[in-house]
Amino acid sequence: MGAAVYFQHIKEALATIFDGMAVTASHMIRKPYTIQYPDRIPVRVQDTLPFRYRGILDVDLEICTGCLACDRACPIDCIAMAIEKNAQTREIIISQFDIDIAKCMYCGLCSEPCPTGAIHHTTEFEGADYSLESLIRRFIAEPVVAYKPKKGPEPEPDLARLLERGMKYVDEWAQPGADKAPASAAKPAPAPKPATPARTPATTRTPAKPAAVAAAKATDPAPVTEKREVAENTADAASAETAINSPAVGERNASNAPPSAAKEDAGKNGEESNEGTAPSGPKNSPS
Amino acid sequence: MTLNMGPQHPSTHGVLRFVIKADGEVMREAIPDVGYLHRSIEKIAEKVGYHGFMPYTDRVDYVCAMFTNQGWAMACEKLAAIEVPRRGEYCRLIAAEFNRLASHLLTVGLMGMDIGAMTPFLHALREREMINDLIEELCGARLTFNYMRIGGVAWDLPPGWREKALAYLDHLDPILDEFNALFSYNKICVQRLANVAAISAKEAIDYNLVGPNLRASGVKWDVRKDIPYSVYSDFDFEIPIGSGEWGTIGDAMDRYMMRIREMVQSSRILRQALTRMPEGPVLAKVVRNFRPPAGECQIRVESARGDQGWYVVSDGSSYPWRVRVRTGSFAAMGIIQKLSKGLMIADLVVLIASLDVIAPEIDR
Amino acid sequence: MFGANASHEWAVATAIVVACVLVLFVIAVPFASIVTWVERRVWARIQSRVGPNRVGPNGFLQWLADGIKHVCKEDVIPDEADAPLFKFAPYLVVLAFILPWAVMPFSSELILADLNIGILYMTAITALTVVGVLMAGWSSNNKWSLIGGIRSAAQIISYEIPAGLSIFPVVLMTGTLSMQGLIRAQAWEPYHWFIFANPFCFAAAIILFVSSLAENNRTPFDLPEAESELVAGFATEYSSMRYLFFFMAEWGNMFIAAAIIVTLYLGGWQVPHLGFNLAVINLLQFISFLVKVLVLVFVSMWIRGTLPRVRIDQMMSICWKYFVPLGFINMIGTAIWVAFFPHGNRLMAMVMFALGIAIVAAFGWRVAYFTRRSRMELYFHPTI
Repeated sequence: MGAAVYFQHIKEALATIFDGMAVTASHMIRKPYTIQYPDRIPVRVQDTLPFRYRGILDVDLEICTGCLACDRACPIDCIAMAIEKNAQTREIIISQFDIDIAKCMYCGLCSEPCPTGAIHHTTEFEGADYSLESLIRRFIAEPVVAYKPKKGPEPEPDLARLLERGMKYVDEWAQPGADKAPASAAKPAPAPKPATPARTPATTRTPAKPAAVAAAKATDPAPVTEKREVAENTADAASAETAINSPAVGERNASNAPPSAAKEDAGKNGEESNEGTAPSGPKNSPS
Repeated sequence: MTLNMGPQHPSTHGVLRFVIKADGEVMREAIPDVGYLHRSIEKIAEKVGYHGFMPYTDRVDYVCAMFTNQGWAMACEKLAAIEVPRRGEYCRLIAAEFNRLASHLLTVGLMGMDIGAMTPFLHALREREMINDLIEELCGARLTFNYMRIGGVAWDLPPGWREKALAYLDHLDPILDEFNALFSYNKICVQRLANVAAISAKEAIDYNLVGPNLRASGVKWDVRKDIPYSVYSDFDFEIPIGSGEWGTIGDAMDRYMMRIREMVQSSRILRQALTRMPEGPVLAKVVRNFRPPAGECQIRVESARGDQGWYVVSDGSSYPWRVRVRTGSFAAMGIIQKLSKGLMIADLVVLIASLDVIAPEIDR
Repeated sequence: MFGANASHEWAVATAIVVACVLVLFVIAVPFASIVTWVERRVWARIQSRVGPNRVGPNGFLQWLADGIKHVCKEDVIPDEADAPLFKFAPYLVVLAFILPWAVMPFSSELILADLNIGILYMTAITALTVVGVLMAGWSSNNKWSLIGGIRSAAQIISYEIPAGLSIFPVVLMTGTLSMQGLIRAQAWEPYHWFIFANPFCFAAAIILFVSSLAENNRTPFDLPEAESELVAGFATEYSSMRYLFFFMAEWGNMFIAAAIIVTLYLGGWQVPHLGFNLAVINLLQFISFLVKVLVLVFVSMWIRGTLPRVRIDQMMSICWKYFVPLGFINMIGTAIWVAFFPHGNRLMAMVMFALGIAIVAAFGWRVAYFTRRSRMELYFHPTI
């Protein structure tokens, strides 16, 4: 090590340590970035959280339509619901609505398909308790009749208030639509770079892929219109952008077929497409 | 002497175990032992279906969850030939780049903590908390976002968010300079990191390294530029490459500085994206009972830890047949055993921190 | 002892014992405890957070709560450990912490024993820590503790040499080893302090400060204790009060190291000549000494919050390749200086003083630069 390098090391050490200490000194005179939760804060933290915050789930049972969309959507099976359809009055009776918040992973997939916003995330996050039993929130004490959405605005003021809050929550979610511009620079999805060359076992399957894709395209329109359970704006795509102004509940639910009918459709289509495409599945296992 | 750097340890990034064979201070071999965080996430996909798997992808790598979300969404979209609206792609890109910033902040902070400087760690985490606040306003969660959906994203930008995000980016630039002055350019940090565990370009490619680890060794490969996906080709940004200016090419200092430079580039992309967002919907119409046609697809996403590969096989039903995630951290574990020969025990910690190994990503 | 002056000698002996106990239990041990609270608060403010502020007013009793918690813990001695050595090791380390207080010059009258080899005594006693640390590392029957103990011993022994070399310039200039003698050779004005006497002394003061950091196992040299692979180095197997002994000794040694530097280079207890009575003057001198020592302790905490730690081989290379040669240059340079200017040089002292002021001013400018640039406060959460 030459003399120049030696003294350069010393100079660098002193200069960088000087700089570093200046930075820390500047932090000593600034205000600390600490929220002294829970007692030394001006407002409750729950009130400062954004509206979309995914805290502990809550259900407004008065506006629950009993459609079971949340039960189906939950990926971890933390919602347990039981409904019956009264044959004479054609009313839906909900006899059980339990949410196990210990299991819940706060993903929001249940509140997305809810037509009225009955099930929603609150800004509560303090749910710690002493017993595991108390973490199963049971919302039904005795069987209740499900809410039937009206065609126009809701007449009853209490329900209208709940509905307004629920729809406000639901409207935060993105409204599906498609790009208007035909010459958009968005890449066409089925034009990928081919898989890495080392994957030779896949060659046996590549002839099947275009056929499968074509078959899917052929059957695509049918499932899309029949199996739609998500409440969507059924107007054409051009008005999808104006979906921020939420239509009344009645319009939203126009396409919300009763759950049993949708299930039947799903079952039929399931059988069809399973027959058509099942053979390619088991062949995958060796690779 | 055989030592055990056990699964409970203050400085392995997650639950990792190393069996170290050492001669005093200098190691002969450090054998990694992974698997402590295996949760069968890939198998769970076969049970919960396509839409339901999105929150599970957050847990594959919880530090940069947006990229795993994006990988899964892109894989499903490719299987079913769904096109994401342009504004949706922009939202995805913005969320992903913010997440890259947050993840790199955590990594450089952890490097500080591992070599003994607690202050840079807390400064980096403070900045990360501000990003978390932004993302919390966007999607409601701070760590496991579940922001993206098949066909787009779940929420549009809330009103006023764009201005807040741009203000944050203005605030971040001097903070990065301050961070560099405090830690990155400090002589002690440079001495600890330079010339430690240098990986040559050939070695890096042989051992399957990706992301900043690969680029630090001089290989110019970034999925955003080389296999562009989403709308990355619309943006003007650079790919920093390791140049060995502090020591050798591909040493720990290069890998660390890659992340600092990538943060600057992410900030650049974000500014461009936020200022020219198109209007339109953010979510394409996708059926609730998603059933892509039978087939397979492979997707590559440039996550904060590198090239993340998703391979999904569908058999036409509403549950995937097989899902496979290939993450950068898993490959990085493989090279540790080879590099550890001749390193000191203190350097092993530096090596793990510079490779940015995150345990959940290794074991899934 | 017995005889005509027996009662007088008994009284003197009792007075000395009482004074020792007073110094230890009013100054030494409380300092070593309260400084943990101060360090945590200083450290927290550097890191943009608050630090302990719940136990007592502003968290002031945190050290008491920690102490009581440690005392109430179970005392675990590993089965395979060498029990007598294991139990004895903390006492050796605490001995090295307690003994130097005998020559601590609090003021011109307040010193327990003005030995004429004061500074040599202090340096020698602080080296006793090595024996205790090695004993702790070995008797724990734990490979990690052994590594930590050996590293720490190597570190302390190595850095004794630059520390000793940095004491030489001052001793050459004054010709005495006694603590009071060294202080009396300086005056209260900063340009009369030895640190500004000549550039060799300036460099020697810095080397002494850094070496004392290394001797106390403080960052950036805290490899034996806070290293990521070792939970607490040589003290891993210790619990409750024995563990506290090690760390009380470490924090207390910070005071002793700072006191050495203040005595040698920063003028000690010197205050301006004001016409007060003796008691008030001594009180002022005590406060002056205390303030200077606390400033140095604060700088030591500040460095801990800023710098990462060095690796063991880099630490050895810093000591032997940089500090020892520079220490020798300082010593020889000062010897030549004393040959030319036996009573010092006023001009050089003013130049060095101006240099010191310039460094502090540059530092303040840099702090202002950083504070102005990154406006963190604009992005605070509403609840802060």
